[in-house]
Amino acid sequence: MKDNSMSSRIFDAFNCAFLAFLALLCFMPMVHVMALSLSDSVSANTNAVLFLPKGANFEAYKMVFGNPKFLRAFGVSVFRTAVGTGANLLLTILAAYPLSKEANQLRGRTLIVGYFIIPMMISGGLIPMFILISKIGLMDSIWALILPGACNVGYVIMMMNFFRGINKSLLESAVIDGANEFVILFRIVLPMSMASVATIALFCVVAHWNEWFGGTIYLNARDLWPLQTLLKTMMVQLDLTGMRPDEIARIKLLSDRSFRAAQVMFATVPILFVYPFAQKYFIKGVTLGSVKE
Amino acid sequence: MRANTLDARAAAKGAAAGRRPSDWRLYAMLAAPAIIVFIFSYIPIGGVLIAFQNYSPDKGVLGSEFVGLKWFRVFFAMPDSARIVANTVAIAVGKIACSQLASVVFALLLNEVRGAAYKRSLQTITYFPHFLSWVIIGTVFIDMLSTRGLVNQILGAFGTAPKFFLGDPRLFQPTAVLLETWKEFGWGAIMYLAAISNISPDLYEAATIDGAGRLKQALHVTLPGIRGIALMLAVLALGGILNAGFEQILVLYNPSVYETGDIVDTFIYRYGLLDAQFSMSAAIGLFKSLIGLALMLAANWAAARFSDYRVL
Amino acid sequence: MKKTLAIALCFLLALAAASCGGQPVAPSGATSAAPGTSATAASQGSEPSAANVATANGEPTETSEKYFKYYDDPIDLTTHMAFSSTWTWHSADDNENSNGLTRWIKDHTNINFSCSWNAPDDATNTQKLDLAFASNTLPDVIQASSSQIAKYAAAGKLADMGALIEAYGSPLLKYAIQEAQDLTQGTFYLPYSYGGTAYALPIMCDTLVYWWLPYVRGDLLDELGMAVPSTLDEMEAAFAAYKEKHPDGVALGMDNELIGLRTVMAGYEAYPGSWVEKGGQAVYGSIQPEVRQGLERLADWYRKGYLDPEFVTKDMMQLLADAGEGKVFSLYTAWNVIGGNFQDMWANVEGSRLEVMPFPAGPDGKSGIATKVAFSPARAVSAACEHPEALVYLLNQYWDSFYRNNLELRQTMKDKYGYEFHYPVTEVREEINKAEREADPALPSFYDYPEELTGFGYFNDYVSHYSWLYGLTGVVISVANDDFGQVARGAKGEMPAEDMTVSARSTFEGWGSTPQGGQMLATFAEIYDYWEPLMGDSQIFHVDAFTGPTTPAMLERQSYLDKLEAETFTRIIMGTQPIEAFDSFVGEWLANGGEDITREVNEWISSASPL
Repeated sequence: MKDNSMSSRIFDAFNCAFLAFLALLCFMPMVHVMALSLSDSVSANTNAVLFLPKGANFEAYKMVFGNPKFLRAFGVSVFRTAVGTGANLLLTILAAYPLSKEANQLRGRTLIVGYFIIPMMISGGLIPMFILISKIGLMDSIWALILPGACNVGYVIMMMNFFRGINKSLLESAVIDGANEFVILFRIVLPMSMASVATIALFCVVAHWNEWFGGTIYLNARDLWPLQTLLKTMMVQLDLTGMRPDEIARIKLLSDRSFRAAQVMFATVPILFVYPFAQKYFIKGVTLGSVKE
Repeated sequence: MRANTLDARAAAKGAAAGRRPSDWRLYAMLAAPAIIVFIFSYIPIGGVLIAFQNYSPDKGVLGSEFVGLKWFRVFFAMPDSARIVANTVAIAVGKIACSQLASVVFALLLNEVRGAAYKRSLQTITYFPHFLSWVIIGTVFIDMLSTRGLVNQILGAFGTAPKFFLGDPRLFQPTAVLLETWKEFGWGAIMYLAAISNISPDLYEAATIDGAGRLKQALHVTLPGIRGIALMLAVLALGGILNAGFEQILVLYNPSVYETGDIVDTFIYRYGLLDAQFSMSAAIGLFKSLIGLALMLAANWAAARFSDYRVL
Repeated sequence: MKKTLAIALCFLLALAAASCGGQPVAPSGATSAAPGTSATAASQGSEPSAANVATANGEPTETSEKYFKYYDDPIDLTTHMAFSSTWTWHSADDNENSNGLTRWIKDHTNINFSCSWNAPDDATNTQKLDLAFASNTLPDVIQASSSQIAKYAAAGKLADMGALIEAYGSPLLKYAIQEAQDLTQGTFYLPYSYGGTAYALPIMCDTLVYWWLPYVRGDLLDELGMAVPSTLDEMEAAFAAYKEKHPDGVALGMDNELIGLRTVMAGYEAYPGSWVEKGGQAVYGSIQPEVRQGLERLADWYRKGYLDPEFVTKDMMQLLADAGEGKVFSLYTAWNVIGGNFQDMWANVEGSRLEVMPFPAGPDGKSGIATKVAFSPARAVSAACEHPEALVYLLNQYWDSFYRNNLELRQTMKDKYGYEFHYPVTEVREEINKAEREADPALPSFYDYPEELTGFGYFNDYVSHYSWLYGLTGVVISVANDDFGQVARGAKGEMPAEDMTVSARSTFEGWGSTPQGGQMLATFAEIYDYWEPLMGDSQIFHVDAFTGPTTPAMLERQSYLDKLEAETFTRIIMGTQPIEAFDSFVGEWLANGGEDITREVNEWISSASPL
């Protein structure tokens, strides 16, 4: 891949500049949101905040951190994300591997694929799901947030395609060595698919971490709420609803906009911590043990 | 991914391990996912019947009056329903095409960057917009795209007359598409980067030995290497052909652009404001799903037929 | 707009509920209950009737037996609520099922009052209610909108509220309801009636929530040397002068939902979006010729640059943000913005001042103000509830306790209805944690009422606020309005704070303590002065002829017609379509379901007799 010709270097220069420009386009709005979250209400409400906070105050963050439920909600989110992602990954892998086989290796493959595809597209909607969840006793349980989405067919298809790309001769030699399908899957295929596993894992983590709707519908007990649900509920038109006049003074320090901005921070920053672990698998990640044809 | 087709042909010729009976273990693996899907996706599926009823929750799905295609008729009888569907398809296709293209190009360009640390930080920063909800950045864009906003100022420097992006029906759809592209290209590139990282370096070495420069390598090694993923994402995306990005449209649209900006989901939203009618939204939801499913299967068939690559 | 109304409603209810109502205790007669005195001693100090209060040993009197009830066997009563995560209960161990209020209710009525769920916001609350309806698990007591009530009533899930109140309601409760009936010209129950039966009791509040009005920047008028315009022509002159000096400003604020239309439409007595009586029939306001005139005027103003050329991309919040920047000369919005976004403007823009701009008079000198006077939401009782009357008993308690200190009301009730209040006149206690509250205004207030005297509004903690959360509140409208009148007088310096009722005083001082308190009070005084005389004048005050639930024809076409209307009006104003487009709009509206809808509306009106 090394090419040090002149045209190559010019290209590099332009490329870096162009990508830097793109990165800037993506970064500046984030800076704006962060500035909003740190600004006082008057400025946030009067279009005065651009990239620097005005009237810097931490009221939005204070409200979140000061909320007695915060720690608990954070813990719930972490639990739900970890367990949920684990469940998702497991089920995705278990489904994707057999489906990555050819039709003659897996009898009835087309039917099975059809079985999975149909409910991916056709759904009964919120009401039947709600009734189901309450009937099987998952109401007010964290598992109502983990189990229903545990097998995401979209991810299964993606993983399936990744598995298909693995060199078949590797698998053949393993069979010849006497390995069964479980061994092949977990000892050979999986280690070679870390890029796709990392990707799907990342998608799952982000989805679980940011999901707030399920909590409002299925969890009546607030102690069980994940963080985003808690934040979402704090963000209600809270400036006047139920506030007594003497509380207005304190609330005026905080604006709807700056609180929403803080919410975005809570959604994004934790992902920043998780992300590098996944990223190393797909940036300049060379698959191990590739076999020469 | 080229290996995929070679092996398929090899297996079809009866080479090596193509003929054993299916291993029971494969079915065992499928058991858990199948059960979860059955419980949480198939059992509630009966809810689609609501689309064909005058659903009344106290009577339930089994007891509500059956009205056949009434709600579909109501929707299509509305004078603007054809327009709404057309808008939805136009915007959705535009978004799919544009985003995918941008993601691919970005992934390719990023792949060419030498420094690992620089590469990583670039990639990290570009996924930020994915996390910004339209509710929070909507106002920013409305401001930026106003006739005296930033974008028009820049255009003005090039001598173009100011355009009312979010108020002119002719400009609304491209604007929505471009904004979505900006928001998703970084996140969408992740799949492609993962695929690129899966490409064996031997292929690159072979290409270099054959005298191919960087551009040729990108075109003949990298691009084919991600072709499969691109097709897969396209097919999956077509399943959502009638989801044109509700949140974004709701934040950005307004009465002066209804004719090109009103999509199926915003219609349902406004309809639901009137009176939360379970049946109508179920009917429209079913309509969207069926169209999406049909398209997805068609695309899958076309991909297999014309490019030898099976997605599903 | 509905949301803002709801917010304002809750705000005011909270105001009303947050403190003890009524007038200060008359110094003569030992009505002051010193700590530790028994209830008997206190009651002996107040009005002389022995039937006035439950004695310390719980012996029921004639009054309390009939309208208050202690159940021999404990009963369960469930409800639901929406409780923002930013609020706090009295203590860390409290929650919606166990707090000062629920414990009090248990002790005094033997009702186990609990919540089926506690939603984080109104939207989720509504959705959960629908889901509960769908899964047949409605709570015993619900609060819902008129379309939800209609749905549930049609499915037979609700108890007959009218009958319950008739049978179990106390005279005080009925008196309050009667006031509401008078105010709404007999249509109080209508939005919640189905087949001639009232299924829900609307939550009454003072009438401020309907006060939307045009405002104008008083300081800018001074700068221009002009007076507050009161006709459309005067407005135009003011706009022209304003634009000359501030070419970049917005003379008339408008939002993308065209709520600001009301200002101009008032001048033509046009009522778009509303149903109007014409020649004995109800017709849809938006297709009337007056609206055409209003649109023509607005299109003219848009051409002249008086409106924001990009108003169509801005919602009300954005418009208020622009006002906060100082860019807007006049706009139409709710009264309670003085506690919200206008404070930003006053802080941000040096010398800014708001004045009320009256609804303008049009070419023929008349002015028409449109508003929908309907109390919302309402509370209903599930048909599956075993003790539906329990709610009414609780409401009886509420009204009696909350208004116990209002001597005028006590007298009226006694003279006219023979109703003796259950609770005695009670000395109002000061907060005992005032110092802590000064440091942290969000802390709950603690009082120290003797146990026998506690009741709704007179609890020893933040609990009075909870009554509102449980849907157990309501007002005597005249008293509530009076309170705001006192605040207005106080703002003008006509009434010292000490002379106000406790609730009025707490409002007055609370508002005054906000960062822009002075402006807020001054502007409120103007708003009150403008609106108060209008409220009684039904000539000016147009009430929507149709307050019923969605009709079948509406289900089929209303959303399309609304979209058509929004599109057409917007385009006409912006000039992308000529005014003649209005005429084709009228034709299209009628042809595409409008006629059917009109017919159904008239059917509803003729069949729905005021209850």
